[in-house]
Amino acid sequence: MEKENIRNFCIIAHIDHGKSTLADRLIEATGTLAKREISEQLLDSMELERERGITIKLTPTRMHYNYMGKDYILNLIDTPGHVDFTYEVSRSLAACEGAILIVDASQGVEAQTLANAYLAIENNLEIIPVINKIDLPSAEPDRVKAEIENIIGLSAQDAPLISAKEGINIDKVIEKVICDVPEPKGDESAPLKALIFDSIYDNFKGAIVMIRVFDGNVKVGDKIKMFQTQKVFDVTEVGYFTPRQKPCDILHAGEVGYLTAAIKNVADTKVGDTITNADNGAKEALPGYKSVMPVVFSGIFCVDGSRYNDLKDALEKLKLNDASLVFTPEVSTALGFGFRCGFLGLLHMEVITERIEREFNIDIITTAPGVSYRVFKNDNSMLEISNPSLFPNFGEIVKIEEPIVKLEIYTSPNFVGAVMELCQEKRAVYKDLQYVDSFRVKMSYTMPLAEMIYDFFDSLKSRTKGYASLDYEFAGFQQSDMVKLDILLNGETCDALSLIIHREKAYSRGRAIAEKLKKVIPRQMFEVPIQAAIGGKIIARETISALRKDVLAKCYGGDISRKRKLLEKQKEGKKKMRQIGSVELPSEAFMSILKLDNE
Amino acid sequence: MNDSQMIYVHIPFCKKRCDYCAFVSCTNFQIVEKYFCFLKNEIQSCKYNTKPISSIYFGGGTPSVVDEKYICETLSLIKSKFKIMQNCEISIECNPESTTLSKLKAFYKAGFNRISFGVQSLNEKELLKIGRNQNAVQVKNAMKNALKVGFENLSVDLLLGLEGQTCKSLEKQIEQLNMWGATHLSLYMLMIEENTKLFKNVQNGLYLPLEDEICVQLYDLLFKKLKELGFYRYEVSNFAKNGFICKHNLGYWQMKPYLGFGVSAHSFIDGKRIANPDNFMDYFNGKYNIEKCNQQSLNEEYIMLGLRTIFGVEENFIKNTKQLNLLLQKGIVIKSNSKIRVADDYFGVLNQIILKLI
Repeated sequence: MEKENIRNFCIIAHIDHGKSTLADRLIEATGTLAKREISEQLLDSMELERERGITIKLTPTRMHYNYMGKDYILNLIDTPGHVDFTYEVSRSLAACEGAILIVDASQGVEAQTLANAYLAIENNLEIIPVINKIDLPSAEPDRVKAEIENIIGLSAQDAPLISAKEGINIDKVIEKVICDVPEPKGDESAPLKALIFDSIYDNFKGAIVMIRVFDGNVKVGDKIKMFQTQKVFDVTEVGYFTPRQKPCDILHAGEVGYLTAAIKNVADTKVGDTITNADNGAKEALPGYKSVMPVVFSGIFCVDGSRYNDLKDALEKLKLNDASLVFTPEVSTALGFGFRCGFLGLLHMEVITERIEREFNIDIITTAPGVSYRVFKNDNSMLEISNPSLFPNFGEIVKIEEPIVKLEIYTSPNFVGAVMELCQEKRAVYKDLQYVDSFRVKMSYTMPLAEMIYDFFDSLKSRTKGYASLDYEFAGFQQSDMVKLDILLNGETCDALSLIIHREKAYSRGRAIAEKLKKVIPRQMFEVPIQAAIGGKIIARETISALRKDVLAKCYGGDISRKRKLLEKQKEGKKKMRQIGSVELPSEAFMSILKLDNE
Repeated sequence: MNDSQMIYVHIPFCKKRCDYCAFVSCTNFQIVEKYFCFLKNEIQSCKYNTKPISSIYFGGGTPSVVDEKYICETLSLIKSKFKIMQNCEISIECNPESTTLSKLKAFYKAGFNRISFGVQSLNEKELLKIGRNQNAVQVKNAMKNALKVGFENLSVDLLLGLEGQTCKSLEKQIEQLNMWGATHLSLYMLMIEENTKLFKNVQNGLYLPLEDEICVQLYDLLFKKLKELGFYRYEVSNFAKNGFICKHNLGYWQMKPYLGFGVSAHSFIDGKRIANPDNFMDYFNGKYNIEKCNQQSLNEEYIMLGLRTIFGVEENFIKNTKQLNLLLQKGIVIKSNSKIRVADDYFGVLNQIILKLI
């Protein structure tokens, strides 16, 4: 197929605006799959993705369509919607020439609509606005069109008005893609240049590498080389997705597809890397994109300590398909053996922990998420520490630096006050405020990453009624007055509950945690003091009074079975508890201290 | 230690079911005759009659509501069928209002030597709210008559946690019972069992049992009071004056073998727990259920039951030594010689302790 008949595009949207449904309709309308083969929301293949209605992994799909007598190949690359996965979006965008921007006909432009639209503009993509859900009684396509023009600055006059759910005007969308999205550029005769935008692991074939061929071509038997690792592989299969894997002979410049090359280690297929020919390869790699860096760290432990190896297995398997997940072994005196894991954000963390519990059936305990600090000691050494329990004695510490991010918030002028207030609460430092136009301001801040990972994004959304979008990038480290907040149960420090926190916030958080723990820890046979302490100084105290009455019932006629049953029941309940010193803690206690802010 | 065994006989008849009761009982007195016929049959056909009998207990229901001849005949059958030890303790549960002088005389003559009165409370108001019609005068008379007839060992059941109960009233009740000749007291907590009238009443807000914390405070105070009066706790819920520990009760907790006769009665024979059916139809058809226990759970039972008593359990039966040491450190359990027992203050959370040790 000629390049001029290929269109590579993605769909971007705010969560719930109908991205996956439109993808399904496109697949259906192009006859890529028969209707009966389409189970709802095809592209979200992970159970968790379907259940939550979010997209996490990317799935490129090749579709064929005849328009005005010509056959076209349409390559659709799905994208995730949540800010945690912004990097995944940018990956898809780099493989495309155009993007369908879906906007809900009643909700209008939302935070992620904006954020994704700007990402697409940055990537020089042709954007096709599409207004979805016009079948809803609350649909206001004209207002939404005006919003798109005013807030984003895109012409929306001939945006297709569609209902992905009802299958209305789907063909208009396809025509727009064919007419408006530019054909891929690229030189078929030049050395191979293919961008890796994702990879998944297959037990039989090894890594399945998803690529966009920019120059040259690739076929079975080719010797290829990864630019970053310089490793060489023999291509064993090339093909595309329908969305099932379908092998083909060759992938040409401009095409999107996959290759396998008996790559046993997913780490060798770094997302963003360029593949070229092993001999006479391209001189320069494609401009990749920012490599992904974990920003949120948390300890993961098994409720049943004997399942450590299962947990290890689970993490390794998840890592095969998710290079952004990092983990190293960790030992906690309270929780035993586990792993310190790095995530892209809180949602990523939630997704991973849920998958461990669901797909691998392991009950886990997750400790409070935190970031990685630079700790300078008085012996002139510097440690990077993400685990509060590994912090040296505060007497040995000269200074602590915490990671900060450069934050840009786009919002309506109406919400400037609300955003400023929120940022102040989060220790952010104001840098700049610009009116982009009369409908939009850009506010710039630097903010400690630790503050952002808690619930900043959710708070921002709720305080701006969704009319804010957020972009951030890592901006180095800054010295901060951080302290280690310890929680003592019955006089013993529980390392798994320790936190690193800014001194100004330590007091109120210590108190809040103690209060919260009092609610979640069941009464024990003795009084249990819960204390919060900074460097040995107690700053808050709560007491769980002792459990004194359990049961003293009559035993009739030598019938001990009732007593046995009661005991068995109580025994079951015990299994879910963790023994910390002499205190029994339910596993939710560790997570409950995270959710303080939401109450 | 287990060269003797005990006998329990269940008399499942009651004039009226109490609101809190979740046990097998029957208010239809037309089947009394038939019931005792089957009961005697069961006793007669029992194969386990080689070991001598150290205690016999007639419980219910209310054994005192049926004609005394049934009770006396049954006891005499047992005496003829089994070898009864010289100092055998023979108890019968009685309801004060149905316990007449003539009945007491008959019981004494038949060989009963201990009476357990189901009193629950001396306060009429407290009793009415749980569906019991009885007053302090009836209790006083019944106890007086029992002493008159010759009984020396009188036990009284009391319930703790009743709506309206106060420490003062309870202390006074115990003083009175002591004065009237009680030698043994069982102090049970009111349990709100599903499928009882009381359960519904509690759910509908018509009955307000005392809160746990208040029950505990009452218990602590009563514990002191009882000690003053010479009642010592020998088991979680049971208090006795010197020499009046209930052998039968203690036997349950020390895993003594026992034979249970009658509907819903349980037996513990040859390390096996056996239960009779809890409905009359099956009982009259002679169907008995057998529950088998493996050795591990017998070990668990030994701990679970033994810890209920102040005599405790042998330390080497407790496998979870780490937990044991922790509990010893905290003074929750106490070690003397090679025995482990629960400290007085912690009997209320016995189950929690047991769970840690099994």
